[in-house]
Amino acid sequence: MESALEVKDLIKHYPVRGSVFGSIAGQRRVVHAVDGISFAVTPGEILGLVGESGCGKTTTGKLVTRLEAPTSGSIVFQGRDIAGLSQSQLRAVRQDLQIIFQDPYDSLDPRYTVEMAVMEPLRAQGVDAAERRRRVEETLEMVELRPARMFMSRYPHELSGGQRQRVAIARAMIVRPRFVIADEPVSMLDVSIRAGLLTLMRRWNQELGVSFLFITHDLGVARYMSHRIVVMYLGKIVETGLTEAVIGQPKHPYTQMLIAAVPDPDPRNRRVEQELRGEVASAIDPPSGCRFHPRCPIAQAICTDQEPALRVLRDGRLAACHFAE
Amino acid sequence: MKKPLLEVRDLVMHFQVGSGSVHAVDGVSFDLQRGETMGVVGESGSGKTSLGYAMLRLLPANGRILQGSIIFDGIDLVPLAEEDLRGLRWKRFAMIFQNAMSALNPVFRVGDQIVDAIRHHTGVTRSAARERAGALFELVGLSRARLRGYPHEFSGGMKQRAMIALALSCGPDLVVADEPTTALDVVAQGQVLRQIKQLQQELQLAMIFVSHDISVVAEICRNVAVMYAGEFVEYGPTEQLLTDPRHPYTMALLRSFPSVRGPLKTLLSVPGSPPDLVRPPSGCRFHPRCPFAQQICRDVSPGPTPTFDGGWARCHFTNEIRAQGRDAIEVLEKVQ
Repeated sequence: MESALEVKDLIKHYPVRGSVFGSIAGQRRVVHAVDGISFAVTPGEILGLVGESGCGKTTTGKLVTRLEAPTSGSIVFQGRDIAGLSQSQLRAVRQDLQIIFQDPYDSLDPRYTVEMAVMEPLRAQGVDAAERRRRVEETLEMVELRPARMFMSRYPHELSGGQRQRVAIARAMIVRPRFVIADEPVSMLDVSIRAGLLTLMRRWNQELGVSFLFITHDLGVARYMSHRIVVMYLGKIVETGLTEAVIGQPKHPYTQMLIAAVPDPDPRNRRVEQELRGEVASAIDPPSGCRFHPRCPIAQAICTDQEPALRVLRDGRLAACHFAE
Repeated sequence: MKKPLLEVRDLVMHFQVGSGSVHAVDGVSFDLQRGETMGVVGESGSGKTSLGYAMLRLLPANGRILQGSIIFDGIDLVPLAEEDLRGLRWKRFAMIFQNAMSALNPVFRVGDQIVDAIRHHTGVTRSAARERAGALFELVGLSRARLRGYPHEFSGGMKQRAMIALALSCGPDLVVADEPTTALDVVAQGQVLRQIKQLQQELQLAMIFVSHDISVVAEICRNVAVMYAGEFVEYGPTEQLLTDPRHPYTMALLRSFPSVRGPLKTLLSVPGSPPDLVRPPSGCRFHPRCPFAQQICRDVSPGPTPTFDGGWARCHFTNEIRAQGRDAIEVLEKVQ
């Protein structure tokens, strides 16, 4: 089956600004934000992309939507490599590739009513006015902003955070995309209203077969949403596989540490005390060999010298660790 | 039972805003023993941060305590003059703020800032203050050499440890921590939580731990208060309250938490949004969002019904809901 999205050897390096001496000496120092990652999203799948701040997950989202241009690598969307397309060439792709951002306060124009905001993507498509209005109403109903007519005339400041994020989702939905990239879509919202939005996106996926790249730092949210999970650390993929396998029995020492650190309100699910060692290293001078080796409880000499390849383990998942089985 | 370190009685704190007064804290009462950590958990706009600040009489210009008392070690802080408070702050009670990044001055060495704070409040010599700062750094798991570092050389987790060291610098009996781990990644959060647990044991420190995250509170608090719309709606020992919640809001909050452990559960959300605290709802403030609400909930504000071991829930129907057992969750599920 053809993938909905296939990313290969994707690299994004940012030059370090203000390093005058470096440029005089002819050495260009770079931040290795994304450093050669490959993954695919199958049609109708939700792929969770998880990791801590600085791991490259948000940059990956920006590259895939081509809000940023990759340094190298390919991004095949609907059979076409979009990595090198110009902004005008991308316009045709954008309709099928929508993005939902973290901040519902930032992503809506305060001067636009809900109707104008949700309708805007349709205008570019040349849909006539009556049809546009009908589609706005229908989409607002779908994201449970009911009655739709009442919400259409409202401005963002008249909405709660959860309602704004529903508007942002409606905006992405109205063009009926086949692929959505959601970057921390519920992180800014209170816990009690998150579930409603997550359920909405799951239904969107199940009923309309829309594929998702779901980016989050919250492993609980990733588990709830995703069919499969990709775990990133310092610009690299360290582990990927079916959600329940990766979350339930992580094989990479980093994934193990990450999951062991997650607190839980249920005393029966209390985390087992495990050593949480060190801090994330610099993405300017990433550690040699395995990037996790300075923090890894099972590191050996080989881990300093040789970068582990992402390889298939017995149960079919992939992990980039010399010792994972 | 020993005399509590802190006794808060019927505390009312409002903010003046353009459209009226915000009922940020409305009739909150609790005791805190020496060495006890109490969690205050609530969502944005519940009044939890205002309560934390009010404990130390750190009020914004438009905030006023209208009623109630805050008895700290026998002294009522509410009528106390500002200059008398100054003698108590940092020395007897201190605060850890959410945003450690901005609390440290970027142009001075972190160690110098702590040394200055110690000298300002205790009047000890520079070398004594430096020795103390070094000991504090070790206490929170930072090396002494870090005292010479600048804030930008510290990661988020290290800054938060430095802030904890600063809060502890004058040996307070009580620390109020407002979302101290919220800005941190999960591993750094785990490290800071472990540090706080160690300090609890070593220093017999009393703590009020304010957070939106019920899972973080679960890790380090002996007792938990659940705050909604300016009021404590449920209070009790952490383990029982989290395994057997008795207020519909607490139940819903727990069912909305996506866990990485145990079987995968359907998440539930609380219908509606938190109320406007300028005009809070009549009766029980949760009634417009509560699946169990009856007429009495609209009319009468519920008093505390005892639950277990000194715990209580402010709900007219807490016993009935409990008698229904599993049905309570089913009612919540039907609402979705």
